[in-house]
Amino acid sequence: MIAAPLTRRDALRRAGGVALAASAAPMLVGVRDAFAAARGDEQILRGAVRLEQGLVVTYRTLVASGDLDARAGALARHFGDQEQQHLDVVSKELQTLGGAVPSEPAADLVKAGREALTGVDGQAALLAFAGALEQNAIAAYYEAQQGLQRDEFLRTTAAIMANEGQHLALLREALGRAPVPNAFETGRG
Amino acid sequence: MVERRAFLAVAGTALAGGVLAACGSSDDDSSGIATETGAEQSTAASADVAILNQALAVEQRAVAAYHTAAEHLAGARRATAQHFEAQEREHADALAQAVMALGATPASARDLYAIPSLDDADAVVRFAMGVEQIAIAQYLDLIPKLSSQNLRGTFASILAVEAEHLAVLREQAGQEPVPDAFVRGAT
Repeated sequence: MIAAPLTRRDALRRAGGVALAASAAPMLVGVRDAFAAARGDEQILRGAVRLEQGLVVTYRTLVASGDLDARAGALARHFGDQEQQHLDVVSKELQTLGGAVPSEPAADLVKAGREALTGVDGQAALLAFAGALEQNAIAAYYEAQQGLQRDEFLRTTAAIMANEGQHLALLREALGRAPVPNAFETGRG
Repeated sequence: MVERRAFLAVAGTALAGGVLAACGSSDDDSSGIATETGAEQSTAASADVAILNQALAVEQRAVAAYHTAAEHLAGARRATAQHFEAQEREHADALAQAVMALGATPASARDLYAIPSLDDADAVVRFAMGVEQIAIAQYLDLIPKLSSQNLRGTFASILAVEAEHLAVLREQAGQEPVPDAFVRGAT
């Protein structure tokens, strides 16, 4: 186990001051704890697949919600496309270890994603939810850096974590906040 | 500034303590460093010291670069450069502290750094983007070489911030801020 499980309150706090419905918590906790029970590279990569599937599902749902204006919608679509690229690569890396990649996101993940957005209304709250999701993903990848062994997996996940940081910076900006408030992006703040 | 090549003194990097804590490190991070300190003069710790000093040199150069950049910018761009300079100082300080925690001496910053010709604000932003690209590539190269798992996390947290800096600078340059799904940097 490489990370302590996150509480629902911790996960919601990462929305950056925008109040999120309690229904958002399971999805956020699911992303944050993607590697919580992982031991070894294969299990961590399996967690990364699940994490990225969750992000892809969420961004698709955000885009389809119709609640984002053109600019925010384009941002969500672009980020969703990049999450899909992450998913493709971590899936291939998992397969190199002989791990099986689920063709579809787990049912509980899809359910959590759908329920997460039922209580989130308006563009600001949707972007804040996306930001909270990115922040929890960064926290998960931060932990993964401390558990992975193989060089290529460390580099891949670090490059993904940096990209999630960029997403988070632009989401902060879209919410009128400072894009880079901290010198260290651990996903914990 | 229109000089072909300007040189500048590096501002000091010895800042107030507690930066490892500021990096979001919990007690487990601190204890991780302390544990490694106990394994005195181990080969792994020596290698980590060398890697830390390599990263420190990257940060010292970034501090100097943003210091110069801020002098050549105005308004919001200047404020951004100053903010990023302060964050690079935090990185440098954290790395220096990690070196000391391993019982070694942090590498000193150079007295002078070569800075290219910075003819206008756009050139300054492009220069800063280049500094970030190099830093990102360096961190990606160094992370797997570290033996300390805690330091890997710290390096990744710095890498993510350099990537965020780059996205903001690209926006200021009128470029797509996040063009690639994998942040690789450039050497």
